Amino acid sequence: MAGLNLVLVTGRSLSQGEGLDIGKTTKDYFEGVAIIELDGEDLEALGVVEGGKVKVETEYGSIVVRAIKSRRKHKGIAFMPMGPWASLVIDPNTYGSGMPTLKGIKARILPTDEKIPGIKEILERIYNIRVKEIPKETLSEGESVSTASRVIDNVACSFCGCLCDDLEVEVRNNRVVKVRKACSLGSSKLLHSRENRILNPYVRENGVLVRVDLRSAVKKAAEILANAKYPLLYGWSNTSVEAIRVGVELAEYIGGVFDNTSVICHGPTIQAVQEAGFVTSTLGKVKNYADLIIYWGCNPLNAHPRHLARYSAFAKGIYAKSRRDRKIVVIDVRETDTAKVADLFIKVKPNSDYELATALRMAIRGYDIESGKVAGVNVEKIRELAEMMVSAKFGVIFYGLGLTMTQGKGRNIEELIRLAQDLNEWTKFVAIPMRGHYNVVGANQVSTWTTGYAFSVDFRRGYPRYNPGVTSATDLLNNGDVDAALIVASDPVAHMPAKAVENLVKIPVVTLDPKWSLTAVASTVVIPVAMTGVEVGGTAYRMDKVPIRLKKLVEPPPGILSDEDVLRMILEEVKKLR
Amino acid sequence: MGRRFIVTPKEDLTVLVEAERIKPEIFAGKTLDEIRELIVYEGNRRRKLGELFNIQEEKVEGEEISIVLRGDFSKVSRIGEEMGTGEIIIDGNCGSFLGYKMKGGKIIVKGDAGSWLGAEMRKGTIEVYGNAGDHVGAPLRGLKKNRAMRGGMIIIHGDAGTEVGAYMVKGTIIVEGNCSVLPGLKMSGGTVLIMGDCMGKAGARMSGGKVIICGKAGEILPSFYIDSIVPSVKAKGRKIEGPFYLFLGDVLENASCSGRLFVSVNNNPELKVYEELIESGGT
Amino acid sequence: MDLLIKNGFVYDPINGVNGEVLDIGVRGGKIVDPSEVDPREAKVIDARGKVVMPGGIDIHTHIAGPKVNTGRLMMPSDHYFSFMKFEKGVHRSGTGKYTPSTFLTGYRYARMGWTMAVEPATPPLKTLHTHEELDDTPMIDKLCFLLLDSNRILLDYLSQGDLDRFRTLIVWFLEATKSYAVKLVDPGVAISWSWGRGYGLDIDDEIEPYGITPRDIITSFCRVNQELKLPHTIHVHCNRLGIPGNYETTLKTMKSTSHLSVGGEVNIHITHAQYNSYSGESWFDLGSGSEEIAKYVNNHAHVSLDIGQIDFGTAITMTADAPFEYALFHLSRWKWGGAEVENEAASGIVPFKYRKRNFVNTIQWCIGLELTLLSKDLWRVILTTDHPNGAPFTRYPKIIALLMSKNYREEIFKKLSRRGLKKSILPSIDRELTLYDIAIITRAAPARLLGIDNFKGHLGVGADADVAIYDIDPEKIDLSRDYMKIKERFSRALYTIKGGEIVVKGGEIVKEVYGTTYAVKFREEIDKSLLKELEEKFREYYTISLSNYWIPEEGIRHLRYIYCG
Repeated sequence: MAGLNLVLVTGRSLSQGEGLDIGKTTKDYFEGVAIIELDGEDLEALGVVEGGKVKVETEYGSIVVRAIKSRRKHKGIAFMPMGPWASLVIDPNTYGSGMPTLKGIKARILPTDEKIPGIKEILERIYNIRVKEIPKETLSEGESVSTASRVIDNVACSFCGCLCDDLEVEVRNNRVVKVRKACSLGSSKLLHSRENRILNPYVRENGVLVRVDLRSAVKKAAEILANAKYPLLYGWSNTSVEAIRVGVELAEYIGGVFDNTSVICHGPTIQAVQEAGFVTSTLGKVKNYADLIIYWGCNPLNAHPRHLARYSAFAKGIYAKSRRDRKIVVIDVRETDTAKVADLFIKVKPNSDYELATALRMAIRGYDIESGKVAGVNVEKIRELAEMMVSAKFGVIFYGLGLTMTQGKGRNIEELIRLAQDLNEWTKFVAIPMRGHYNVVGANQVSTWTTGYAFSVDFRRGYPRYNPGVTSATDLLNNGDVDAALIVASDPVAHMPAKAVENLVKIPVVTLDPKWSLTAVASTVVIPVAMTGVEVGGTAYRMDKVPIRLKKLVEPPPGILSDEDVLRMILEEVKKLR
Repeated sequence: MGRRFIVTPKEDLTVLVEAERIKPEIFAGKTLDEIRELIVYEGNRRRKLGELFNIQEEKVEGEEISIVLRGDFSKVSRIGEEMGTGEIIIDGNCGSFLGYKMKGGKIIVKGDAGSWLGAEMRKGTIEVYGNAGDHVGAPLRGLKKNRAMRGGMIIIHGDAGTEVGAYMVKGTIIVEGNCSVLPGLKMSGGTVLIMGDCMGKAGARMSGGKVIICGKAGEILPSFYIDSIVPSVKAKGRKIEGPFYLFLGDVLENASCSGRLFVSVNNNPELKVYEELIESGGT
Repeated sequence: MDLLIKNGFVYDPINGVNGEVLDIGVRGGKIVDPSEVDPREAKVIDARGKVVMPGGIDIHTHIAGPKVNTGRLMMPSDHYFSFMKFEKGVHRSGTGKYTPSTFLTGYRYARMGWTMAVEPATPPLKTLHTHEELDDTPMIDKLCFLLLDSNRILLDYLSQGDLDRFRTLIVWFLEATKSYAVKLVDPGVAISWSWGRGYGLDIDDEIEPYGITPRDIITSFCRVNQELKLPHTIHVHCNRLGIPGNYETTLKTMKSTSHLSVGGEVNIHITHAQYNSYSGESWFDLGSGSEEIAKYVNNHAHVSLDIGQIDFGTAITMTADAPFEYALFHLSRWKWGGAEVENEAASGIVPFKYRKRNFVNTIQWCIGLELTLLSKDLWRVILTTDHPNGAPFTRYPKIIALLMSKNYREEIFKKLSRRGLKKSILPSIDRELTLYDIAIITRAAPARLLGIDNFKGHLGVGADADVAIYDIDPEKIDLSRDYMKIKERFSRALYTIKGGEIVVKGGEIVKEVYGTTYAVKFREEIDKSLLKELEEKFREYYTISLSNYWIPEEGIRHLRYIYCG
């Protein structure tokens, strides 16, 4: 059978993002995520029609998904949205960084007649989890008390790291009925906040999740954590600072590992800061000053939809008044939607960002570059970009997972930071990471001020230690090094590499989540919680480390507590046991 | 008389174990019972060495203390930390930080070793017959290079991961198989010899020392300049037959380009373009 | 439980008590007359042969907030090797020496007998972050100073001459952020730094695009500060910090507010004055400008300062003086952290090492001590290290010993740069401070300058029961000769009592408590029309809305307002 060798890139997509709130067991999620985007020419070469099935094979596994023709040309590169399907073929190896290799993986694509496995099948067949009994729960509509609605303004959106705080939310009968100013991801989260909810605590007995009361669930959770020799406490990027603070205390008390999801997003950025420092600013500085904006390895139009209009390319600023006052550059391995709005698009060879950063640093210093092409880019083009950089009055590089997840990992970011530092000899330049979850920065902040380290914090010897690559959630799970886990506000079963998931589902897992995530389905103890930023307030940190208060918009479902409250209950119970 | 200890796990380990007390100097002056009382950490639990492992002792010729770890030690880290004398033989796999800050003696691993093998090493020898993980010989993150590898020798007969010999000041690391990216990152002295292929970015930001790639090297960083073709290169007394392209760099770290990167001519035909530069540049 | 501290040598300068043997009573977290405490019911501490002082107060120490946290992030090397283990039921764990984690910060202060600390530089937009960290800082009371000198909206009003709006807005910013005083850092420089300029900006240089000078900023803030009757004066990090010859700028800065002083009251505080007391034209002919600075301060009651003493070894420099940090990065070439906050401030972080044999570092080391020892009024000269810029705060015991012992100073001189010593006047100074003096510069004076000396910094009836007891018998220990003992005993308080509870015993934490966060509150109502205008300005300048900028009270653990105006 004819096959093609391509480079596989995984990442966030709009439908993947929206799907998080509709639920991962839905048809929409399946259709949006069990796919691979291929260039038209590649599709043709494979002899597969749009929507046809292909098998993706890598050194690490294989999976059948539906082939989609990509809207933009990126011959030789295949894109899969993050999710349980992509997890089966990515490179789980973190190369000592804690970050699995989720982009730039060699893959073979073949036409196939095999069936595309559904979520249930993946869980049952591959991970050996019984899912027949996913409890069906519906949040009652409640008595229609009144038809009066109220509008809450200046609401901070708890979806992505942009944390846009200008939303107008209309609430009627304790329901969000309308959301203004938000992007589709933000409104989806708010409008679908009542769907797919977990409404009761569950404990697994004889392989089946059984409904219990909160007290018994907390007790069981505490037993699991107190008895564990080496528990992992993971997640924390979709909850409030208040909850994270209790999480650290719990991890310290039980001698576990406290790790947040930056381990699979910007953990390498943190490692780079530890080597080189940083040079950064808040987004308002970019909005008001930046006349050169470079998006490197990120695609905000899909992952941070309002970023361009609110903070960067199209924002109305004091000195840079509009798009016309700014030059936009996109550096990526494929032509993304964001690349379409750029004045200059630089297509970098996969896994060669380090080389490109090196060449840029050389070009701005005026060093000779012997090779005519670096990282697949003509040296003239590199010089052109270098010239743009030094002649900018205020330049910014926004960088994303295209650098942190590929070969070189943190070292890519280190070079990028050094590049920005170098540029300050000539002009003003800053570099800002595009952070994903709305409070992943908060998780880093709390972790840093309480322990000295931003993620992968190991308390097993009674004081904080840090070593991503060894004590990172990914590596601990890849290698089966922990014996219990507490998952808060995250879905590792959907997003971690298959190897890690296989080990995770073998150990007792306690999950706190407002919704039925794949991890919740596979857990030993499931405790429902209120949705932070919707049903409970708290602090979150924007991607540029600006703290913003989240608002409580509606009441949580009856009997459902916040992450913070449930964690405190678990901590108190643990203290009785150990 | 010398003493030889045989240590075997009692049962499969389910969580990471830290055992920095497994090293010849600590075993040396102790009876077998005392050794069984040594503290190790099984996850967050303080355990006695004897609770997790069976330990036997044999008298052997000579004066040396040797510790033989037999079985799967892949979850056990920090074995031989700061050891200065004697011998540790791991007859199986072992975990991370083997021979961390080692000051002397010898460690042999018959299986695979984890990451941070010989990290911050000062002296002594480590030989691994299987593969090694990432950060071989490197210092912990964010430290100055005065804590990097400053001496000793690490030989890996299999493959190694990323950043082999990062920040190295002195010493030798030989990888007979392949390695991942960034061997010799930021090194200022010593030798990193990769007999197989390297995934790229070799010698990044080096300011001294030698990196030798005998197999495929991937794209050469633009911050390296071609100097010449040499027929062979010497590494720790071994003569490695070439020919090799000799690149000097890394100009971003050190404008005088005093790091030397040797790359096999025969295994890297795509680097042929550089040959023109040698002829025309007359460097 | 009530406490009775019996027979200690009490040093309580606010009440004029100088080493007299007295009993101190404690009830309900306050100092009471000892006769009110029944020794049979109370816990009695035998302080015979011990020194009893009010709890220490640090008036300038970077312990919390965005800059400090990125300092922690940037310096794992500070955290690998310095840590404290978790002890169940007693205290949390932590790491770090120069940028300790929050819990450790509190514990280390308490172990030295300090019970209050001021975070001196928080950018308004991120002050919620500062408060969240202060909330996780146990054992001590705390407050923060707000960075306002480069605030675009304030400077808009100032340059337009709208002083009413300027004044009201200062009130609004302080109230919105629950902070305590106005901090001016290299006044106006963050505006120029937006374009990468501003290094070396002097007090009379114009700031683009406003056409005003740092002098205008300093005097305007000083005037408003006095009008509003804020408990603390403006807290000024002078222009041209760390540049040879800068003592002249410092003199000009001090003079700039002399005409505003009413009745000789202190109206400007010069912080970490050591960094701003350099004579000479370059680093090669650097000299100490401490005599000139000290002379001015001795002759003008309107100025107070803290010294910003350095100590040798590693330090992490962090300041809102961003251009200075960038310049420093060129010396160290290792790591540089630079950050900017929209419309408000910028900052920098550079790890640095002070070396004993180094000419410049020797002079710097001498200047801090000189500024103290040349002072004729220690009530206006406070001990600080500008933690972690000059040294971590844990070096206070060492610096106290240096100030108290010429022998100790001479011991250190042997290891310093001779050329540096020649340029310094420290070797010619014989003065040795007394325990009473130390109680002034570490307790009484900071309390007075913060405007809280009615209930902090003393041991009179009604004061907060924050007490430190040191195992020093002034009748038995030769303070000048046994300087190592002074250092050691101040490092580990025999007892630290916070809010009436024993929290440290024998230098170890025995109980974790959380102190109060102080903030100013004004009696005047904010003009509603200003808020409307502000909303517009926010939309234009900021990326968050006005209403989300306001920090709610309930987010702060124990908030207490100091009313003014």
